[in-house]
Amino acid sequence: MDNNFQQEKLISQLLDSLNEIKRAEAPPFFYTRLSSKLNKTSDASLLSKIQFFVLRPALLLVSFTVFIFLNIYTLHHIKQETTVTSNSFYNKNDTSFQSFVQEYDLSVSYIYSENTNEE
Amino acid sequence: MEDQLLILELQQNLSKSFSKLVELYQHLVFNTVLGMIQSNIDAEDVAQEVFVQIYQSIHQFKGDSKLSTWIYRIAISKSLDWHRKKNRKKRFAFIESLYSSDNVSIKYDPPEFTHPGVEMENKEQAAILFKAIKQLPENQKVAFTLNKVEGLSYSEIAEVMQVTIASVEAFLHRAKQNLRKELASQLVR
Repeated sequence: MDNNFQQEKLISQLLDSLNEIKRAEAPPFFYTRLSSKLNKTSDASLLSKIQFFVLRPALLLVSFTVFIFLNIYTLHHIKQETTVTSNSFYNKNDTSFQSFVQEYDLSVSYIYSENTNEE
Repeated sequence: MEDQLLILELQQNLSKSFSKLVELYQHLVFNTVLGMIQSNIDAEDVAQEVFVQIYQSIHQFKGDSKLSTWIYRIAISKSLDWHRKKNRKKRFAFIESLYSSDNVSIKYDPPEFTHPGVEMENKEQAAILFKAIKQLPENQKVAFTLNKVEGLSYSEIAEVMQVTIASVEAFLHRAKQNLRKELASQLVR
């Protein structure tokens, strides 16, 4: 009982220990240090704004999608071109192509052959 | 009236009037932050962050409340941010302690805080009380610190915390109850 009373008294004293507290003062030259921090912050804020803009998830997602789309488009385009070129190559060996050349006399003629004919 | 003049000056020519604002409010900010974070080393840094925030957002201040109330709000929110950041670091302190030879627990949890404004004969008791205040939930801690360390009235605390006076009374009542329990358990140890 007495112990409890003592403890309660002690707790009350502890709770009252801040009753006459005085305001703590900021350290000297606080403004000087603050203004140098402000200068640093204004330099850094531009960088961080750019960084914030560049690293926005929406922007990243759109750039990534465009990148993927361009890659797919380029691959598809290259593939198509290759197919067209290879098709034309095969056509050269075709009999129809050969007959076409013969019909219109598109074969390469040399000057020697012309001379020979004249003789 | 003085506040309104200062706000006008700040909004028109920030760089010139800012030193005046710092001169007027530096002790208020420092004392609030110190009471909240209970670290003499970090209090100046956090107080500086408060003024940086004021500098960057003074144009957004509409004058709905007193300038000092707005400054108190920034100081409180910066202090709470500091606490959250520190708690996050503390969670990784165990891993750090495995690789470091230094005493990591002291780094993140300094043993004792003595407020420079406490009278000499109360220093020891105040240190025990501050240790117990650390254990309080955020709202109770803010209300108790503003009331005891900054000496704000219930209505002023209500304005800063943007709650009703009845809520402030409830916070303070619960804070005292919790502190009694915490102090009793500390005394038993």
